Formats: sequence, C-alpha cells, structure tokens
Amino acid sequence: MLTAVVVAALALVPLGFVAYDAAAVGPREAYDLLWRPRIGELLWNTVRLVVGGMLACAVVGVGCAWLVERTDLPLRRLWHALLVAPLAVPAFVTSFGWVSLTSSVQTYAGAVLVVTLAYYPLVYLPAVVTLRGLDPALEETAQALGHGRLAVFVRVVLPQLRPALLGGSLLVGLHLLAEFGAIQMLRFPTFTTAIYDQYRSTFNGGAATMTASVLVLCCLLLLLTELRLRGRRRYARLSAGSARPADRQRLGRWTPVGLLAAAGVVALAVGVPTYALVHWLVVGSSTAFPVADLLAATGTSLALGAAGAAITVVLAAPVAWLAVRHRGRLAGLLEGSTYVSTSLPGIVIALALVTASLRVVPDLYQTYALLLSAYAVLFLPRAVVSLRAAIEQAPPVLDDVARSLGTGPLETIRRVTLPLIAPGVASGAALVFLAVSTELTATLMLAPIDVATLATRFWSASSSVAYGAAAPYALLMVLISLPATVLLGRVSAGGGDR
Amino acid sequence: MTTLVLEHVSRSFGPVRAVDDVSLAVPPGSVTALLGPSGCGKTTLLRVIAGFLEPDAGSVALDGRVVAAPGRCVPARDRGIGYVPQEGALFPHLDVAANIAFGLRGRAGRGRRERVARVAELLDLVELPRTFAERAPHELSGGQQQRVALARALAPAPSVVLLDEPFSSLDAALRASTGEAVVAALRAAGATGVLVTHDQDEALSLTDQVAVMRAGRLVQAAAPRELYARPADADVARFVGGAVVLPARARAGRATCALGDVALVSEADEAALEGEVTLVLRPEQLRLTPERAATHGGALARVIDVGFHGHDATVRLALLDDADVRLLARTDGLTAPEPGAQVRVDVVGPASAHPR
Amino acid sequence: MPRKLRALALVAATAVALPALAACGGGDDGPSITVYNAQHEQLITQIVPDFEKATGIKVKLRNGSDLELANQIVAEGKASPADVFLTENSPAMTLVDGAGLLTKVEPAALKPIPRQYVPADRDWTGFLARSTVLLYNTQKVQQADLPTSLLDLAKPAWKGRVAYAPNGADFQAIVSAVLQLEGEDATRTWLQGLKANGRVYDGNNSVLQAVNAGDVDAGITYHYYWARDRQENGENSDSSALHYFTDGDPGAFLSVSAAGVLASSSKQSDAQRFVEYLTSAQAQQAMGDSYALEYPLNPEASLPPEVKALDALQPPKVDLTQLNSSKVVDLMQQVGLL
Repeated sequence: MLTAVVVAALALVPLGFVAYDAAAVGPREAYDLLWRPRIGELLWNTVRLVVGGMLACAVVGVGCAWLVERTDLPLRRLWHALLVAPLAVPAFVTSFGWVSLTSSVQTYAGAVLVVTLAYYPLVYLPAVVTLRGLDPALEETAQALGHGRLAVFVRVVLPQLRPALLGGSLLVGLHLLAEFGAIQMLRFPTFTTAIYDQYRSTFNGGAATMTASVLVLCCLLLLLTELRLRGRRRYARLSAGSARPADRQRLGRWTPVGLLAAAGVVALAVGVPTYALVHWLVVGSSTAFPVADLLAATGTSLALGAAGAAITVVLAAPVAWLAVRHRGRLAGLLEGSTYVSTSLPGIVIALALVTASLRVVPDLYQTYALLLSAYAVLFLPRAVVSLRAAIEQAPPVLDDVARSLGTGPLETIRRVTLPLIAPGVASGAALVFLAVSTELTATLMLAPIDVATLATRFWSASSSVAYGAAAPYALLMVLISLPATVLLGRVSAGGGDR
Repeated sequence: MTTLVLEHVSRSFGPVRAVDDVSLAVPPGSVTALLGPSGCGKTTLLRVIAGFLEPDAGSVALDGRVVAAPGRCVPARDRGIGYVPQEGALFPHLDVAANIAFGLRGRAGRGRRERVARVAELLDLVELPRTFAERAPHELSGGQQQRVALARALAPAPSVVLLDEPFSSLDAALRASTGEAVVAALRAAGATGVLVTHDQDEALSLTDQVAVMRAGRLVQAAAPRELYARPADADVARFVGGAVVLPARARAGRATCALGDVALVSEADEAALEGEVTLVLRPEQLRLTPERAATHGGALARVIDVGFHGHDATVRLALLDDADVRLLARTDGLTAPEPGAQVRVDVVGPASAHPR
Repeated sequence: MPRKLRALALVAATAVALPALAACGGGDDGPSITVYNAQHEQLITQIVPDFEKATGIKVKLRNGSDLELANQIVAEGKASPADVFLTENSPAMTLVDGAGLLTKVEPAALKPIPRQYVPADRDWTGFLARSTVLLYNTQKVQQADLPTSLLDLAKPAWKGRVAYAPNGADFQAIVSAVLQLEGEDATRTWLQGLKANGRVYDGNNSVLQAVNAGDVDAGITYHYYWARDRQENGENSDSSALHYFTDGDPGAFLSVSAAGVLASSSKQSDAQRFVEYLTSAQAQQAMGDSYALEYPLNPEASLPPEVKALDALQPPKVDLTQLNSSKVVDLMQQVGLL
C-alpha cells in the first residue's frame, strides 16, 4: 500500500508542476490565455482527433481481431503476427513515412488515418485475447433466440469485448492527447503541439503549463468516461467446464474481401513506413552507415528499454495489485493518478522532472536513475493496464489454497502468482520497452550527457532534412522493437493453448 | 485422528459480527456441515479455522493444540489443514499431477517416483482415471475439477479438510454424485471434514453432524436425523427440510392445533411445555385421504396446487374451516391428489413444539 | 512459461547492469566542457574533434532544440551543468540572457564577427546566419510576378497562394523583424492579410514539400531548407526556386545562431576558448563546407558558390536582442495565427 502511494506520488510530480506553474499565472492572464478563438480551435482539433482516432482504432482493432479469431481467414497466424507488427514502428516513424511520401495526409482525415495505423494494435491485442476466451455458448444462445450473425455480434460479442475495447481505446486516447512527433509531422495542430509552440515562441512556461492544464482536464474526462462505461467488470474465473473453441465464421466467397482488408491494414500500417525508410536509404545522398554510432545507439536504446521496462513494471505492480485486490476509492485514485502524466506532453513532464530533481535530488540530475524514473512516470499506465489484467487472472483464492498446502508467502509468489501473471508482466514490459526505445523529449533533456539513443539520433538527422541519414536509425528502431512485438503477439495468441 | 474444537469464536468486520460466539466440536473422522443461508457467517468461520482469518475472541484447537486464539495464531501453512474452495480453484498453469503434488513435502514431494505413486493413489481415491494426471485443469469438467481439488487437499495427508461450498457451481445430478464421491474419499482417507453449504439436502445426506448457523450464531449442531426430527426452533425447521408451522396449545405431552390433537416428541423439554406453543410438523407427516367429510379426527382441506417430482409430490393445501391456514404435504408421487380436490388431513407421528 | 520467466530475468539483469555501464562511461580524464547544443548536431560534431585535438578539452554535447534546451537551462537556473549554450535562432539565447544566466563573451571570440551580429552588451555572439527567402514553385509563379517586399504577400493578389509555418521559431523571428522595422500597426495589418491569404503549415520542411509539389504557389522560409534538399536528392526542390528580398526589406531578414557562456559555469576559460574557436576562420569554414549551408559570420569563411553569398544579401538592420518581444506572440494570437 505504501509503495503504491509513493509510486502514485512520483507519477503526480508533473501534475504538481503544472498546477504550481499554472497558479503563478494571474487570473486575468489565464483568462486571456484560455479564452480566445485559437484555444477553441485547438480544443476542437484535439477532441476530434482523439475521438476520431479512438473510434477508428476500435473499429480497425476489433474488425481485425474478429477476422483473425472468428473467421476461417487463410493464414491466420501470419496475419496475427503482421497485425501486431505496427507496434514495432514508432508513431513518428509511421507519420514520417507517410508525410515523406505524400503531403495529402496532412489533413484531419489524414491525421486520423495515420494515428489509427500507428495505434490500432493497442485495441487489437486485448480484443484478440477476449475473443479467444469468450464462451461460444453465449453466441449460440443468442443465435437460438433468433438473432442474425450481425445482431449477435452487436448484442452479445461487443458487450463482452467492452473491457478490452475500453481499456485499449483509453490508452489510444491518452497517447493521442500527448502525441507530439507524429502529429506535428501531420501538421494538425492540437493542444500538445500548441504547448510545444508556446514553449518555442514565447518561452513562457506559465502560459504553456496553463494550456497543459486543459490537457489534464481532457485526460480526467477520458478516465471518468472509461470508468463510467466499464461499469462493474466481471472477474475472470475458472470455468466450471472445459472451454470449447468457437466455431469460425465461414467467409466463403467473402474470403478475398477478408484477405484484402487484412492485407490493406498491414500494407498501410507497416508497408508504407517501411517503404519510405527503404526509399530514403536508397535515394538519400546523406545515407550513411556509421557502424560504431549505430551500434552504440542501438545498445543504449536496448539497455534503456530493458531497464525502463523492468523498473516500470516493478513500480506498476503494487498499484495494479491494489487496484485489483483492494478495490476502493483510494486504490482507484492511485491507479488514476498514474494515468495523468501519459496525457501530458513529454516536454512538460521533462521540465517538471528537471525542476523537481534539481531541488530534491540534485546529485541524480541527468543520470540514468533520473532518466529511468522519467520513463516510469511516462509509461506507468502501459504496465498497470497489463498487470491489472494479469492479476485478475490470479484470484486470491489460489493464494489461500497454496497457504493451506503449507506454502509460505514468498514461495506462493514464486510457484503460483508469478507463473500466472508472467504473460501479463511480459506484455506490460514489452509495451513499456516499445515506448522507451522510441521516447525523445525526456531522453534529450534527462539522459546522461553524450548518451544517444536511436530515437535521438533519428530526430537529430531528420530535423536537418538528412532523411537518408535518419533512415538507418529508424530501421534499427523497428528492428529492436520486433522481439517485444513478437512477444506481445505470442502472449495474446497463447492464452488458450495450454 | 483429530478432534477440531471451537470455543466461543467471534470475528467481526467493522460493526458486523460475522461470527458470534460459536462453540463446536467436530469428532475425529466425521464430516460436519456448516449449514446456513448466504451471509450467515459460515464461510467466515471456515476461514478462521483454516487460518486465513484471525478470530477476535475465542479459540480453535486441533487435536488438543490451540492453533488460533487472540494474539496467538498458527499461520495457515503450518496448520496441516486441507482446503477445497468453491469451484475448485485449481492452479490453471499446472497440470492435474502438479496440482495434486503441489503441497507434497519431504520425500513424497522430492522423489519423482514417490510423487507419481502418490498422485496415482489420490486419483484412485477420488475415483478419477490415472490418465488424467497430465491433463490441464481447463480440460476437466466441473465435477472432475472438484475431485482434483480434493485430491490436492488430501495429498499432504491433513487431519482436517475444509470444503467451502465445493459443489455449488455443479449441476444437480453432478452435485449429488460428486458429493458422495468426495465424502467417500474423505472417509477412505480417514480425514475429518468440515463442509460449508447452504444446501440442506447436501448437509443432511452427506454428513454426520450438521451445524446450523444464522446471523453469525450457531443455532443448533446435531446429527442429521436428530436435527430433522427436533429442530431447535421454527426457523431451523423451515430451513432444514420443509415445515408446517402451526400455532397450538400444549398440555401434558400433546398439543391441539387446527389439525386436531397431536403427540409431541417424547423428550423432556417438549413434554414439559404447557400453553401456547408453535408446532412444527414435516410435510410427510401429513397423510392425505380423498374424503368429503371428516369422520374421525383430522381436518378437511382443499388442494391448491401440486408439485410433481416423480417419486413424490408436494401438495399445497388450505383448510376448509380456515382458508388462512396453509399446509404443505408430501405424498407418493403417483397417488397425489389433483388440484381442487378435497382431502382429509391426518397427522402421523409426533411433532416438535417450541414455546411461542 | 519458463522461457518467459527467463526473458524477464534477462530484462532484470540488464536493468541492474546499466548503472555499472554508466559508471564505465563516466571516466574523468582531463578537462572537459558541457555544451547544450540546439544547433544541428551534425554541424557541431564536425568541428568538435579539431577543437578537442587543438586544446585537449573534451566537449560533451547535449543536443536538443531551442525550445527544449532554452527552457531546460532556465529551469535548471544556477544549477545548470551547461558551460556553453548554442542556439539555432537568437531568441532562445535572449530568453536565457533575460534570466540573467549568461556571462560576457571575451573579446577574442567576438573579434572576427561583424558587429551587427553581436548584442551591445556582448552577452553572446552570433556565429551562423540564415536568410529569409520566398520559396516559389517555378511552374506556378513567373519571375516577373515575384513580390519586391515581404509585406506584398498580404495583398489580395496572393490570396490562397502563400505557405508559412507560424508555429515555428523561424517564422516568429521573421515576424519580430517585421515588427521592429515596420511597427505594430503595420505588422498587425500584414499578419491579417497573411492569415487571409495564407496556408498554414507545421514546419519549414512541410512548406518546402508543399511548394515543390505545387500544393501552394510560394512559401516564407529560410534559404537552407531548399538548398539542403538540392544537396540531398532534390526530390522536394526540383520544381521550385528561391527568391531573395533586397534593399533592407524585412523579407531579407537574417536570423542568427547564437553562442553564449553560462555564468554558472565553473570552467569559464575553457568555455570561452570553445566560443573563440567557434568563431575562428578554421571552424567557420568547416561549417560553411558542411551540408548545413548556413552562412558563416566570419568574413574569412564562405559557402559554396551555388548559394547566394552573404555579402550579396541586403538584410535590414535589426536589433537582435529585441527580437524576443512577447508582443510578436500577442499580435499573432490576436490575429489568430497562434
């Protein structure tokens, strides 16, 4: 409990910074800052991007999950692997790929398209897991009651998918609130890009954090909505009988359509950025392969990703544990507080940690320790979401049984809890790894000096229009992300085959 | 062989006294049911015995050794008590053999051959094929999962096994057969069993002693037959088996009620009752005869409806003299009267009476 | 399952090993300075090795953008680990100077730089410059139709034809030049016209792509975006050309990259030596020869002949230290560009 409070407090440092800074802005100035047409425009843009992106991710994610899990689509295993693959492509690389090929994506529709392609796996993964675990009897009952396939899907399957859908969409929404790199390239101004602009143009921290407070409100709104819609979630429990795999919908003459849909998503989400990177590698005059630099950056990215993942998962564990085992207002509050910083732009969090660490632990400034804490603050929700689901798979009664069989607490954790939550821990760690290995702003500001990651190298090269020089770093970023992606695909596909 | 003794055990959650001053002795090798409606505290009591909860007051002794008293609590893992939770709760990541062997210590746990032998022995005991050893929990039916859960609890040879509503998630047919198999296995293993249930049939048919709980208190602990014949009060009577409860006037070992003059069970307390009492009859004590008029004793009643169960039928009746007096009778299934029929009601055997 | 556990163990082991790795990297051998660099990394790393060889002072670079590093230095205050700060545009330096965090640059470093690129209080010095230009699509705009002043772009003739990136520091520096040269009312009118005529983009690279693709006829940007793309592969510059404004027009404004020494630095002399090297003919020519194509400010250095020479430009006279006026942002907000 105490650990969870400490973790939540750490996660709230950026929020405190925003509140403190925003409070320093006078009421008159705050009014002027927040009450102007531009803010309305940004709010409208942010809301429609977040809502559009969440809806599109939900549709694409659930649609693909249904194709892979519930139809006789040929080569399903291959499609599953390919549909998870976009996780290995950082959003700003996807964006970069599209933008460097055509400027026509730099509209609202284009922005929704690109962020959907970058983020739909966050919905697809939990949807696949849920569909696999769903008792086919439910659907059969509904069919027996005279409902058509579509009606059954809408009235029976979709409600069951709700927790997966809501959890995944929430993550998408929070990311879209804070996403900067991808959206900036798409030239679609949102609150987050505006906050960067304010830091850039006025160098007025107060004004920028004032704007950030609007983002915090958006985040709270999202959290509350999710909580409202999630309702009383049913716990996963051991079935009273053996589960049957569901009958698959025969696609028949629709098979080519199904194949085309899956291929289309994969081509747009993975094909386009890959093509763009290869294109730049081949045609760019600045293309170079500084082997030592590439290796060093790769090593750093890998190590930071792994360490960040380990620490974040460890910190997330008590929060997730409380949220599942001791449901209540405090646990909910603690869990919710870890989400807030995900919706804040990287620069706000980084500056908050600069200020806080120099005041509290100056010796840790710009050390790995501080950088890793920053990652933990930024990416806690990814780990909490995965761990929460995993801990729900390990009901407390199993602990009781183990204790009655003469097992001590540590042994119980080793023999019962850990094996049960291992898949969840692994996917949480993989999600954090993916995020850390592509993180930019906090890395630029808080990493020990002279430490370069693939992401910072990519940024540095692409911001000087040296697309050819940037491409190898982006490709490597995709490559080191692949194992984590494969792991996520495996965990989601492996739930039922034990 | 162990005796489990509870003395004045109490346990509260906030202002709620979940278990209130319960004393109970469970003789060695017997099976005792903790029976009561949901929320009566029976599961809390079980968890106190298991060591998952500490009592606020009172003590729990196993074989003369106090394992729980305020401030002195042997942890669950050191009590040597087997535990079978609701729905079995098998470890989903382990196969059947590993589940059963989970609690094995010492040689039985370490040696591969010993372990395989012990697992086989336990599968035999719970009447499952040995080939099940390599199955995963989700490949078993609910009843099979329960048997594995019992085998797992019995593996370390505990003296006491606690079963927390183990059959509640099974369908009726499976419930009866699984229940019998589980109790048979308990007896074969020589273990003392405590079974939490809200199903009175289960309690009466499977166990040696039934402890009825209500609102945290132990109302009555008795052998099934005794409990059924002489419930401690009308509520216990209603809860354990169907009951016909009538106001009556008692005098000298007999009582007069709407059904006429009825003998009281010939025990000291009832025989001594005088005056206004509550009379409790079992539905099968009412004998129904098609009849237009009451000839010798008995009362006339009209059949309201009939629940047909094949082997028997439950008949709801209203007295002709006083339609407010409703009766419940159990008759032979094939000879049950039709709804609307008029019957004579006779009482067979003695009734229990409780002061009003 | 065991495989997954092993993978987790590996992750945990890496996490433990990392601090050790860090300790190895932090070997303290000889003097060193920390440079917060908001100029393009590739540009500065081209001159650092020669400096290290010549002086034996090791240079540690923290790279970022104006936005990040300037705000970071202000947030760090006196505790900043930075010894030298290099910016891409001067307003970032003015921010840091305004927070009182700079010390004066020594005369040896200032000597080669023309006086118009150094503020009067000598708290920092310019070391590179970029020129405002009008980029135009050669199929859509005839040379004869090119405007003579940046202010002409607000006229109805350019309706729907001008691209710019108002969010960028680059464009805001240009607006601040207009403000200084033309006054508040004229600037507001110009911005209103531009808003009516213009198409907003999110960065100069986007402007370059859009103009070259013919999405829009012309764009306000700096000279080197187009010039670098010519060097890269020309894909985004083959149907476009640059128009330099002349005669001290605000559109000919030169924005300056600045170098300053932090007052909190405990390595003052080493830091000053770095700035001195940065403005020396050798370093300036090295930067001029690089891919960056920004104008070296030391007159002894020059860019390749394909780029219009610095002394052929006719920039307006602008007080660089006054460019950080928050009035620019106010105006842009009033007009609805921010």
